[in-house]
Amino acid sequence: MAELLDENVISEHITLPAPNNNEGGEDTPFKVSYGKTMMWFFLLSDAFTFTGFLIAYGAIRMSKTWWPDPNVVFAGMPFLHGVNVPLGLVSIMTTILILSSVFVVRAVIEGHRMNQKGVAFWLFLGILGGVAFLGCQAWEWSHLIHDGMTPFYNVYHAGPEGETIKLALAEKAKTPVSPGPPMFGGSFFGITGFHGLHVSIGVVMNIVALIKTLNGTYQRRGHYEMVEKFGLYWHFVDLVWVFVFLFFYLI
Amino acid sequence: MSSHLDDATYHKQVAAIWRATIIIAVVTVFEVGLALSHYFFFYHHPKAIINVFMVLATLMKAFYIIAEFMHLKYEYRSFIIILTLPLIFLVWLIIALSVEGTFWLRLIQ
Amino acid sequence: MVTSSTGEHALSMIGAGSHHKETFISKYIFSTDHKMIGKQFLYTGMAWAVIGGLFSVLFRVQLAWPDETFPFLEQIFSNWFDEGHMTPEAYYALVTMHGTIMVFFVLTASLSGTFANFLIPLQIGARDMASPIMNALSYWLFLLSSLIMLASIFLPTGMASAGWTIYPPLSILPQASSGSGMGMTLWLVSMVFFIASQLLAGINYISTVLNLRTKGMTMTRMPLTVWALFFTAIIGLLSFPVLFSAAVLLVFDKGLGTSFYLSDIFIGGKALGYSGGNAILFQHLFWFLGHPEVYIVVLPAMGIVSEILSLSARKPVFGYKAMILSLLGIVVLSFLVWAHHMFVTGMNPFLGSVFALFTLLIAVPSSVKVFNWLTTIWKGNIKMTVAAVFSLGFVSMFISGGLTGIWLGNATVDIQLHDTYFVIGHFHLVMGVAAFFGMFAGIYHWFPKMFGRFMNETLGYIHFFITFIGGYLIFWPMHYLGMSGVPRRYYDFNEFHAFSEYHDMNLLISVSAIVVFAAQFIFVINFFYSMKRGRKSTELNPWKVNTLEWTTPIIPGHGNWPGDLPTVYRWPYDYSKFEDGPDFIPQTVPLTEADIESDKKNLH
Ligand code: HEM
Ligand SMILES: [Cu+2]
Repeated sequence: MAELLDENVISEHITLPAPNNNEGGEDTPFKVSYGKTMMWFFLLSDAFTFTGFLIAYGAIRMSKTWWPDPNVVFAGMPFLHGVNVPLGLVSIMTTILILSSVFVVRAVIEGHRMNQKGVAFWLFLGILGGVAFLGCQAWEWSHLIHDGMTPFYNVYHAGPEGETIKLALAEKAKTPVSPGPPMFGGSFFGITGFHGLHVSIGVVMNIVALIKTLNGTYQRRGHYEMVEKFGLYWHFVDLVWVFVFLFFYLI
Repeated sequence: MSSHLDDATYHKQVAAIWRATIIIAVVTVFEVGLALSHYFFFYHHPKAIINVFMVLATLMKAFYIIAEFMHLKYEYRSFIIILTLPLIFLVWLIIALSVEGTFWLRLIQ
Repeated sequence: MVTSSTGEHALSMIGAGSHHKETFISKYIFSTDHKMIGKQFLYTGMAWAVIGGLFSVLFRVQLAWPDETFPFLEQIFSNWFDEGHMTPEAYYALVTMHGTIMVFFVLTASLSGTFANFLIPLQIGARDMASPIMNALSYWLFLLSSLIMLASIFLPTGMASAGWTIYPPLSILPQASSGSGMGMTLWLVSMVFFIASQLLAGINYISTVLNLRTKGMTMTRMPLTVWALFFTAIIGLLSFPVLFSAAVLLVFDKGLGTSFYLSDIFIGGKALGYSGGNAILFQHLFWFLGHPEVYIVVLPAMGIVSEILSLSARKPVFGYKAMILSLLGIVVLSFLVWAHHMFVTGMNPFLGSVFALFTLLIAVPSSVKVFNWLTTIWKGNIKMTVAAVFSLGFVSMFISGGLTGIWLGNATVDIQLHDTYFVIGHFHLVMGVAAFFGMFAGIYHWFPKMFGRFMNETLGYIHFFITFIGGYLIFWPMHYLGMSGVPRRYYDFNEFHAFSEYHDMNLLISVSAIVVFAAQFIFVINFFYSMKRGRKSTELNPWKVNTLEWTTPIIPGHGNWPGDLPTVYRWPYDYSKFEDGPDFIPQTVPLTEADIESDKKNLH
């Protein structure tokens, strides 16, 4: 006891090798490691962030009598100049992102089998998907910006029948139009931008995981939990996209 | 963690993932089809009913992403509950702001 | 991988410890030890509390003596005074920053930060947080956010002045006031870091409580402090993200010219380029955080008070399960009621009545808690330590302030009372003073665990009585002011015939405020003096308490328990369990036959 009371001995620095995940003690109530628990709760909070954004957009859109038709706005296709393919590009983007998510699940499963090559292969495909998605998004953004869309100005105006017309075309055809809500651009760029930021972070995370997989770090550690945690994040990005897709492109 | 997968579970898991993928793909095609059919064929009809179906379809996709891809379906029930129950707060936020949004529309009309 | 030999490992590290001495920097500054991080939160919070308190004294001086000149204040705060008078802009800026500092920096970051960090691992029997690095990062982000906010105070154009609720358009348009420019921008930047810090901290607290409990520490054997801090973390985790969204959209409006929150605005007859947004949208998003936020503030204090009342009365906490369930009820309801802050904004009246209904429901779990505190001390043999009197003070304040909440929750009554001093009185009693009392109680109680010494009791009682009486003298009269219609956030009431009548009351409030502010320095001096010179703690368990933190060495090192982690056999409230038995039975004492018999009889 006397030794315990000596401040100096006790305050000595102890380097903890890793948190004592139920060291000698109680099971976690859920049999989920602390790392995955943390990721799950982070994602839960991020779901609240995205809902905040989406419902702000939703409330504003609901308070408007008219909103541009996404089938008209999102009809551009890379390499097909002047051809209108309603929802073409975004359908491709959705497919890419979902597939990329699937690839990462495959990597996680291979991780459970300690199959280093398999993890690397599927992770690589997943990263490719993420990059392709970002490429498409960059194209779509620059296309809209090229048309004159900004966060505070909307080039898509309402025609006499309530149809959606790009201002330049309406002027050429001398169709009388009333201005479209400027918040179209603001919410679109804001929310897809925030989602794109998440995708970019996810790609970086997956690249880190890929490098460490190739280095054999996880193999030596005896488990691929890091791939699993990053994977959770990656699926979440996919999950958010499903809703962005619904509320900006479909409805 | 070190309990590595045996082959049978492995094949079962892989099969489950591809099944989920196919379901999500089909639902997405269905959604895009609904949206486009409204655009091409029923342009001057209200979109509300189609919107309801698309929302339901998206919720279904979300379910498969969370349950299969994120593997939540296979966690403990209590874990599932603790993660999904807070979503009722979001539901209430969405309801309240939707009521407000439509109310603002009524105010200007 | 982690093995169950970490305990031995830690022990051997203590033996080996003499080889590498820690430097001052690694021990006190870039520490990852949860106890040191807790103390860092405490010191930072104390600094903020002094600044926030000083601001309130300044604007109370303005309200009490609007016609006097204060050349000496002008010399110190030359930015905010003009010809000896405080400028109206400075008044608004001071009110804004007072609210921001107190609510976010002191009572959110510092209250949770101190006690969650310090107590969670110690009370559940863990060596540290789930991720000590993230925990340290959370403190550093908080400090960064603090420094940014501090910098904004010295801006020549003035600090943010749109109220702590930063409603647009005031907060967006730089033309609105001088603080709406750079001051507001720094406020927003600071808040983004603050939210990041809160999320890191919250995720850590939750995972620690769920995953790192020691053997035998089931969820229903956790002390109520841990339960309260756990629920606090959950509220923060779910509500701060929405403030983040709201703030990001505000930044877009401010910087990119979008109009999420703004619609046709004219300044000097000229239209600004905004159209199509809605300012009420911001209020919804803000209060989706804002109301849960008030419970983030008060829940940790509730936990601390439940613990201290029970051990001071030497009685088990009354209705342990009911306490947990009512906390849960508060968590759930706190997310459903936010729009009761917006009854007069012209929102959909039907929606308003739904919100009023949910709001009044919160009174149920709140009263369950009050009832349980009272029954816990009922017929107890209370030891009136300083911590105990502060806990009793908390209960008193919470009752007084909570009752007026029920008035405000009625939409029809609120139309009269909204934005008056009644609201100020309500929330200062229920969350301002009450949460501070919880914090003081916690500090007086756990001081020996933090520093191995006791705080001076006499100074503690003086501190309590001045603060308690002064607190009521400040905030009780505000209810009468509010009922007479005196509005909040007004710079000079003597300009209005109707309000100048209440000048005496304002004078009383201001004088009490100055006295109470001064009395806090008794605490500050006591705190730092006792840290160095206070009576040394020589017992492991000076307060005779059951919880695990008192089984550690007097000043625990990093890793908390030199040997294996303790094993828990019982709940933490076995006080005076047997007529002729010991007065308290620590959680580490194995159950006996008699225990099992007695537990069967009174199921808790
Ligand atoms: C019985 C429980 C409670 C009810 C029914 C209640 C109700 C209300 C209502 C209706 C308002 C809005 C008044 C107005 O602005 O016109 C309000 C304001 C406020 N309440 Fe409560 N409240 C309760 C408990 C609490 C608690 C426990 C806290 C804090 C721990 C708290 C903190 C606040 C704050 C900070 C404000 C004012 C914020 C501002 O406008 O700056 N309330 N309360
Ligand atoms: Cu409230």
